[in-house]
Amino acid sequence: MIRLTQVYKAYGAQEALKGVDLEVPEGQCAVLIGPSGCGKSTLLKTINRMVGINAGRIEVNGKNIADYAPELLRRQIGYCIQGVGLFPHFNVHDNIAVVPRLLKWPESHIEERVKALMEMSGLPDAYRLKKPRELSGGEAQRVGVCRALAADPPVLLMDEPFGAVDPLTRERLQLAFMEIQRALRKTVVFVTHDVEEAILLADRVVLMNQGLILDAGAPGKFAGDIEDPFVKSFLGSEYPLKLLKRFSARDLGLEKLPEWLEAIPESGNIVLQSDVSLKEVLSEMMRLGLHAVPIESESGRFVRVEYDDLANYLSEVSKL
Amino acid sequence: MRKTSLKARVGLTLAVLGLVLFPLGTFRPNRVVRGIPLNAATLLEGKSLLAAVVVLVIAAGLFVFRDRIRNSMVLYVVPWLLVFVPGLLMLLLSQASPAGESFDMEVARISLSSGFWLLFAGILILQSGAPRGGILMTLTVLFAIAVPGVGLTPHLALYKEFINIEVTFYAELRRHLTLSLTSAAVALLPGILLGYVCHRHQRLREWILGAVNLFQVAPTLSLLGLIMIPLTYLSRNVPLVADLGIRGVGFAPAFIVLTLYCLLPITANAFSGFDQVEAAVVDSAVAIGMTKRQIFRQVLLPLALPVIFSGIRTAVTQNVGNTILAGLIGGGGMGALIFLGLSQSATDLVILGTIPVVLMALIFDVVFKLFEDRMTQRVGVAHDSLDTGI
Amino acid sequence: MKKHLILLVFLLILTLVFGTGCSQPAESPAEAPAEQPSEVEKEPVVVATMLDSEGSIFGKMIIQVLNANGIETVDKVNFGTPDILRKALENGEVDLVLDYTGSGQYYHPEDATDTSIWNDPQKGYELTAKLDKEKMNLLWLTPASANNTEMIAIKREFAEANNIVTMTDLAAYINDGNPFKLICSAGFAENSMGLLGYEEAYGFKLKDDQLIILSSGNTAEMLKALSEGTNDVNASLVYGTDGALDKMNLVVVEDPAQVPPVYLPAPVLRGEVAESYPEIEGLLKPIFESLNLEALQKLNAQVAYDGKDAAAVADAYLKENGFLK
Repeated sequence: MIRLTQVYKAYGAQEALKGVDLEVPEGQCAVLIGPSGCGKSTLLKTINRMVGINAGRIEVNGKNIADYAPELLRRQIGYCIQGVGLFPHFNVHDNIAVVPRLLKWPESHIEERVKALMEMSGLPDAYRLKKPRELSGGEAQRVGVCRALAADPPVLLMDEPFGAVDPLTRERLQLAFMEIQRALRKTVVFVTHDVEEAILLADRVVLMNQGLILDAGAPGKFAGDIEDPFVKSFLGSEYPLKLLKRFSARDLGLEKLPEWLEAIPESGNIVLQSDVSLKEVLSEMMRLGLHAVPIESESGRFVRVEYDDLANYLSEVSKL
Repeated sequence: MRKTSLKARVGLTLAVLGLVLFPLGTFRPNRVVRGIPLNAATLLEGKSLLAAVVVLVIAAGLFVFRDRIRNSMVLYVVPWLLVFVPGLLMLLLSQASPAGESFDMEVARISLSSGFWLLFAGILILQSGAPRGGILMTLTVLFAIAVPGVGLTPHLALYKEFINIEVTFYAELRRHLTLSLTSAAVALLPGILLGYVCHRHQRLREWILGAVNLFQVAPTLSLLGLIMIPLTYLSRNVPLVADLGIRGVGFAPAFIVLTLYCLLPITANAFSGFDQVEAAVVDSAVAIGMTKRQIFRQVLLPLALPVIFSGIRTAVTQNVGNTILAGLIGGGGMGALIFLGLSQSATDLVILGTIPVVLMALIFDVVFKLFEDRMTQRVGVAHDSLDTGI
Repeated sequence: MKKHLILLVFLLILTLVFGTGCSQPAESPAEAPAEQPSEVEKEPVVVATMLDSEGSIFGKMIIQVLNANGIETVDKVNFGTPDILRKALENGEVDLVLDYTGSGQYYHPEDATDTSIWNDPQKGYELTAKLDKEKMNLLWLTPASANNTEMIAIKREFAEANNIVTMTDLAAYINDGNPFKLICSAGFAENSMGLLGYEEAYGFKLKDDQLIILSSGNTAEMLKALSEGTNDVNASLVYGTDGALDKMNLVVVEDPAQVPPVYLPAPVLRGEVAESYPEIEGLLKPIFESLNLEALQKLNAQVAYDGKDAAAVADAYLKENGFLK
């Protein structure tokens, strides 16, 4: 886990971080979000000592990072950036294998690991010998993620990694990341300026402005009343709607809900499945012009989901 | 229908001009006097070889304008036949002797004149536009060297000069190559390191680049003169230096000056090579946990290598030319021939010294370019992060 | 495929060059001595001369004679420019050079205050030899009797047509307003022991349009211009032993007043080497004494104009005159 205590950083007269406290428990993904220049990238980079701090203390897994040589520290921390930065003269395999080779892993072990990572991130095995210039943006970033995870570091730092691709690719990458995180449960610090991305990926959303943390909490927390006007305006008035995307119909607890008794509405649409997001459920309601829609649960039951169910769920989540 | 290429037409024009308008050779009764020009008309009388040459040139014309006539595949043979023209012409010229007085053929000689060189150049240019041009040109040059090389042209001035100093010629050629290549090789490591320092330290950058530029700008001869003073002092007062064979004149000063001259292309190219590595790549390398040395060896250097190689190419080709000056200070090389020829006003000796230098420079340029291209391919262009797709 | 071919050709050429060069070591080979086996401890004598045909001839002659008498040599004939040569001698990088007696005025300028001695063949030589021996341990051996100094050459027909034999005649010709153009080097034109000395001694003065000045002292170009009449040149600077005089029907205008300094070619030997090989002086003396102006002109002509190999020309001369078997 990561703990930052009163971290302070100034570039000459300009203060980038004005005393930041942050704790990220193990296995959680904290997303730093805020306007440009708020210091979120700077904060991220203090964790792997790409940026030095003037005051304060940073601990990873209980140990002060200042006690380590920077190179050794960084080999224990995965790092993904927007530009990916794959080595153009290495193929995919060699790019992913960089840190394991630095750590002197045996080659056979490295090969297994590369194959496993590629499978996990959805890259076909045929790509292993390709050079970065033969990959698309999305494929390259997947390789970047594999490279960051190659040596199985406990901590992963990601600096707007999906910012440079088109929306469709971005969504696919986000889903891929969520899969990986679900499987590996790394301690992740993720920087983005995209609120929706934060909602999707974060266990904890951390809002920053002008070098300070303004607020932090589970994504659901911000669906309720927000006092700070800046936070409110930054997250936007559509926040609850965006939040709906994070949860699926399944999260409502379909077994407890009543059965759909009427006939299935004729509009040529397929009945919604239990894995659709709540946002889609709401959309369907609006499309059909109804206050309730049928949803097929895993057991095959057709369940009745009402608008109120959605509203109640949101209100519960916001109290967490 | 492929259009007649520009190269083919230019080549043909030059060749015809050379053949018709200018003298092909000069008959000199002795080594120094201006001689009697020999042009195609004087040579034509009864010489079948020349007739063959003329026919070939006409054929070349047909080849060049082949699509205006019928696009005959047969004409593609013509550039290959042209390979033999310069060599055959040299053979022909060697046998020429003007009617009238008799000459002491031991002393008299025939120099190759502007017409010959124009014809040669024209043929090469024409071939460069034909398919497999590189091979054609190489063969033409090789054949032109081989004909006198096996002794078929005893009266050609170049051949006479060569035979006179054959042993010395090869020794000086070796010396020339050794001097040019070793000085470039020695400059390589310091050049790359200096380039790296420039890359990392903004403040030192101007000083270093300014210093190596100074060596480039200063006239070679002055540098040679300057270097000789401390070297002389050292060789007289420090026994170790003298034991190593380092003296104020000869190989040592030439070597030092040439090495300094190579520093600019290598340093500047190394610096720019390191700089053009994408920031994202270097960032990742740092973030991954590579030490500075690892970053240099595994990331910066391999990615900068194509650009560095281009610098080496410049350094070597420039060195081959500069080494000529070593001849003035006892360093030998082709310069010894050139300056001796200049002092005796014997143009053919000067040409004998110059041609190898030109050929060497060209060969090195081509070979190094090949390596450079191969390296660029292997390193590849860094990925464009704004690409769309999966 | 094309790339490989070119690479192959390149390697082939490299091999050829180095292969043929490999039979020779990096330095020019020490030629094998003919008679007695050379003594193992003694170093070979490094012989070096200037970058011209006279340098080639003298250099090869010396080497051939020394070798024939059991002295190993290292061939550095045509080493470099005169100052480079002198520096190398002073450094000990070369052991035996061919120099000219008149050069002494440049080597020890402080001691040569009386410039008139340079016009006397004997006095100039003696002073230079003395100074070099005392200060630099360099020995000047017996010089040749050919004064290779700066003179003025004209075409033979021109001389006969205008009755010009000596510089006095030439001065009269010029002062009568006849067409005259001299081509020479900058060094000669500005030298008080050169053109200025001639002008003063014989009472004439050349105008700017009667002079063509070249920056180098390379007389081959000048003599070519004279023989072809380029730019109306009808007189040229020439060195006494220049081969052109033989070949191009030119004559030297006699200089009874001995204006320019006397330049006799002489071997100069480092003192230490003379101690190891005291016989060198004796070996070279008769050869140099035999070489007078006409002999040298002929030899130079053979090398510079006939294009013969200097080693062969030297060898022929030595054999004809009994210095070599």
